Amino acid sequence: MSAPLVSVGGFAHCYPGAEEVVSPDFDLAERERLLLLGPSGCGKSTLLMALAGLLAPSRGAVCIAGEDWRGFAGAAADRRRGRLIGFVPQEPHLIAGLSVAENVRLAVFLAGRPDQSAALEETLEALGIAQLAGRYPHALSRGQQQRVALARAVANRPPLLLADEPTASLDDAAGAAALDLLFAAADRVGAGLIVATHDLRVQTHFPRRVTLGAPTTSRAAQQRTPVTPSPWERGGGRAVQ
Amino acid sequence: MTLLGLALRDLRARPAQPLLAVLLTALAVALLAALLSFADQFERRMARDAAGVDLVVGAKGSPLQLVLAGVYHLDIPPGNIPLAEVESLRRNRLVAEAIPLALGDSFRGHRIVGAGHEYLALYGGRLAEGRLYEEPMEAVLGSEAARSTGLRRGDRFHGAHGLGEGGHEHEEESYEVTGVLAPTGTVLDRLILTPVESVWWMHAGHAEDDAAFEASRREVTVALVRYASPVAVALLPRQINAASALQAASPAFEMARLMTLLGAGRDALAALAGLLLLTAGAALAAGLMATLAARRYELAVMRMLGAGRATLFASVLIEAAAIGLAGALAGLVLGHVFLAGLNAWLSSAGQPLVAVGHFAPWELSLPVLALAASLLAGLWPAWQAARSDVAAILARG
Repeated sequence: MSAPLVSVGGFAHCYPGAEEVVSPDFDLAERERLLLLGPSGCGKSTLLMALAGLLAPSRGAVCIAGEDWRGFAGAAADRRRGRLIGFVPQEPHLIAGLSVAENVRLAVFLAGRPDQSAALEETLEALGIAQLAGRYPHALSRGQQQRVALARAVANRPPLLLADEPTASLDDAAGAAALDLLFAAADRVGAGLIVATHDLRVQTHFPRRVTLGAPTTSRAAQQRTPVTPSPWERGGGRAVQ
Repeated sequence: MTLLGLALRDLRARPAQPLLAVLLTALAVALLAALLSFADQFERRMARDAAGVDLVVGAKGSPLQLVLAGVYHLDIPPGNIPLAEVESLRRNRLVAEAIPLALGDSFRGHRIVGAGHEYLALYGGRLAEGRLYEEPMEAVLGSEAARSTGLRRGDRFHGAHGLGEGGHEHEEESYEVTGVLAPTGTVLDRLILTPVESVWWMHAGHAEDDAAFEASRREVTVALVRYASPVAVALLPRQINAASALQAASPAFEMARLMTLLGAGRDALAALAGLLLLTAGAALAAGLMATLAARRYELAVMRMLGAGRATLFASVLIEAAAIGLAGALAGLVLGHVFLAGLNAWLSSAGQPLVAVGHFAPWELSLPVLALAASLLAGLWPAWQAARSDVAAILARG
């Protein structure tokens, strides 16, 4: 396939009454990993939502597998998201009424895919939560809940995995373990991975980094500055290595 | 995994608010169900008991009382009438049939009715065992009367003076049970039947001389009249009421009058049930909204996983429908449990009026009504769920 898995160009989004957030242009090849860095409020989550097709940016193009999200509306966009995107939210947000296995199966159901118990077993096994399959979210530790959220994100073997602050509020060892788990899960299904974080500790694990600056003014955004050096990141920002 | 399954699991995970809505719906439906079933049975029973009786003729007094006493055996009769009057009625060309009844005694709350065999024929009474009465002081029991008194063919019993329980017994004379009737579903089931002569005999027993016996002999309590032609409807009641010391009352007219009086109460109860259903709908909507606030992240995650707005809309509506249907079914059960309680209470007074488990035709539309109400109540929450800004919710963590 000639088109990159992800292609972001000229991205800028402005919430009503708020300052505009901009992103440098970047591409992501299949199975590639990329770190989306920036302080809180710089628009990392906004960019993740745009990548998932849940938010239409004010300007710019967000393409997955060569096709811009703008070409899809309503139910078509929902189906495409279910097929292409796996999302690991900062908080697990598991469905309280469903068991671990059912939470993972839910992803398959909502994506409109046939239910395959064997694949489900494998996913749970790979993430080390097979023995928790019958348990309910309230009976799990936070780490276990996050594993279930990860299993849910990769249940449909999506080509792109998005993770929002996977290491926030974790100590060094736990953060590194969480990251390893994320890499392993992405590799297992052959997914490209974009991790959004303000946690500088994880930098070394990523060959490629995109840094989003602090919120800029509309005027600055119009100049399409690809990289906004930020005092927050020592050493300045470079968009793509 | 289905949307329905998902909705039910969610309800189970957060049961408090839905249960309140189910309870309120159930109460509204129970009230409506009991009301409909009771009214339907009551009207059917009243109509059945009065079938074939065009006119009740008795002593002057309240016409409603005359009908209640003469046809339904619920009230005290206004007085007696001379048998000669009934005989002259029978000769009237407007009268096809006039059945005289002699009332006055009872046994354990069941009225002893002195009547010819034609009274049994009026209600299609057939023997379940034994034979019909032929001689004075022989008696045939209605099925319900036999069941509640435990009397069998060949048993003997003493009648008590008066129509309620606790009247003094006629100890000097006893009736012999010659047979028991099969159930007819009419007033006949609750009665004890005997020749008119038995009632005369019993009350003549108090009189010392033959003259009194003769006077008593010539009296009955009411006569049930069947018209010979439609013309009689206009003529006969007026004729009787004007020309004699008798009173004629039409069961159909009197019961319609009674229903109008009771109808106001029934309408008030129905309005109350409607108000309850409205409250249930409001509680359902409020409950779903409260649940949505708690579920906003779950719903956002579902959208992220590929669920469309329509899916979220449907899943909330399905929850509302499940609550409505559960409430309706619980309400139907509750309503009939309530009727069973009512039945037990009325039976203790010797008057089982309602059959438990009798569903009025309208009653089966109650689940549809509850479903419609719950769907209506679920529309707004469903719309809220569908239009929520997923990106904003997830971006905030």
